Amino acid sequence: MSITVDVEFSGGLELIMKDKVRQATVSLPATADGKPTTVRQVILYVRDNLVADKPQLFSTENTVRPGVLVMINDSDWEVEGENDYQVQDKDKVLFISTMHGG
Amino acid sequence: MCDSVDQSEHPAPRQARSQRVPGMCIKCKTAKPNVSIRLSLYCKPCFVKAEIFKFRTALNKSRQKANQHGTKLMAAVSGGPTSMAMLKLILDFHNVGRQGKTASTAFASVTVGHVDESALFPGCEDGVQRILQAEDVEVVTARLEDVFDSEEGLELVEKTVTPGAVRDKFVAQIVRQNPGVSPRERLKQLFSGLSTATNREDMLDSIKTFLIKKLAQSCGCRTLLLGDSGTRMATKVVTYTSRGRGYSLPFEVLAESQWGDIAVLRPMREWIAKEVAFFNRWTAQPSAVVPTFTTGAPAKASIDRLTESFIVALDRDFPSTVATICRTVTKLQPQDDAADAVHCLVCGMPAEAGAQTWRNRLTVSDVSSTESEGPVAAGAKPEPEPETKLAAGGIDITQRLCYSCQNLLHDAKPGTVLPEFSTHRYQTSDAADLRKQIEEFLI
Ligand SMILES: [Zn+2]
Ligand SMILES: [Zn+2]
Repeated sequence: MSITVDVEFSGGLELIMKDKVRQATVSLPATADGKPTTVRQVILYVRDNLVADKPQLFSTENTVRPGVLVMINDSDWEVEGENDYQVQDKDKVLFISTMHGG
Repeated sequence: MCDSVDQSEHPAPRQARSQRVPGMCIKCKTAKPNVSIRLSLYCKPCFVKAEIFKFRTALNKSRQKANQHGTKLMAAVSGGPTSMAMLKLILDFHNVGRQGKTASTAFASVTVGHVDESALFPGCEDGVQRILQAEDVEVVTARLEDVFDSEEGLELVEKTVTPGAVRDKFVAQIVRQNPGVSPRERLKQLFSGLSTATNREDMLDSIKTFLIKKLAQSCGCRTLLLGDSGTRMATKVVTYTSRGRGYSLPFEVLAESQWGDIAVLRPMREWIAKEVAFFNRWTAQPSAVVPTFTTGAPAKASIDRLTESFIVALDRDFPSTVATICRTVTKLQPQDDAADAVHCLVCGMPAEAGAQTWRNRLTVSDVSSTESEGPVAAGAKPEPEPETKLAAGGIDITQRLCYSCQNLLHDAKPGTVLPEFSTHRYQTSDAADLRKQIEEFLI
């Protein structure tokens, strides 16, 4: 079984994505190693499949780099459990860079 | 531990998250929170309300201190997230003030001052203009190349940078500009002659500051709002300190400072970048991605970038980092002699006397050991000479440069022509002998 998640990029992150996409729909298995898929898997998927080059501008240490904000369904991911939030089918995940240098 | 400091304001690791009503918004205590700011949880409506309130409080306080009432106001807007949030907030403030009975809270008018940077960053201005046109406000725009729109220029002809010498020397002369070269081209030449991204960022800052101030003056605005967030301020403080800008730091980072007859207010300095991002998102405020010399470059591309990464990473683990730096900075006071100090020809800030002497006992000047040199940096540094003769018509401008701008010009090639404001600042210098020299030139 798989789920789909809408991802969106802003604050300049869209510029480092393949074809400079602002939005994409990604499909992930509902579970990984028997555990529900978390937003960390979404981040790693984006890093490995959507970022055109310089993945360090998006992600370091298997999560988003400092200065990249994450919103899950229009809420701060910090109130949703951050990396361990279990993504649901049709969730919307927004990544915003706040870095001056992009 | 010093007990004059509020315990709650100490940097605390993020794990120690406090919740006044567990799991609920700190304001209404009934809604599920949507955002966490410095360990406090807010629901969406309470967050937006709290931010508007914070802006008004900061602006009223600053205005009181700067004694700016009923003046014409200019908001410096790049089109980036913080300045667009500020624009929304100031228009809201202004309109509410005008409609209310207490019309005294309104400004005489609000104008947007914008600097078009497309000469250096092509292709970015269209998006910014589109966003600005959508706002119900008058917009005045200056272009970066405007600082080269004059007949004369101050050209660096010579410099002696001798390690261990008593003093460095920078010699310049006033030249007539080649009318065949456009202002835009001259601007590009200036930037291609600066060897590092850090130096280019510094020069760009100086030019933008000058242009915004000039825009405010030409529109008769006595109050100028700058959209520096707390995150940006904290980065500036560390960058400027490492660049040797301590002397003029108070003028560049305080909540309110005076530039000549213009009161400069920074009402966004209590906002961290995250608050700006959420505010814009939840109030549907569009903004543009404003490029820099290091957009898309690694963190070590410039001192400013390196500092930003450091601050942002620290703030993620210790959410009071930015607030603590900004609060510490409010205690800075300009030195007594700064008011009378000469203004640096390049950055326009007070230049400490004797800067060139301690420049030689130098600490951090750049990150050239890690900084990748641009393709334009190939020019070899001139061999240091034991003695420098002033070239014909040459003027020793060393005393007219602040410590940091001496560093900025350290690597500049002879032949570099400075923006027209350098000529102007030089010409308005009080030194009589200098004035005489100019008069002779003009005859
Ligand atoms: Zn609430
Ligand atoms: Zn200077």
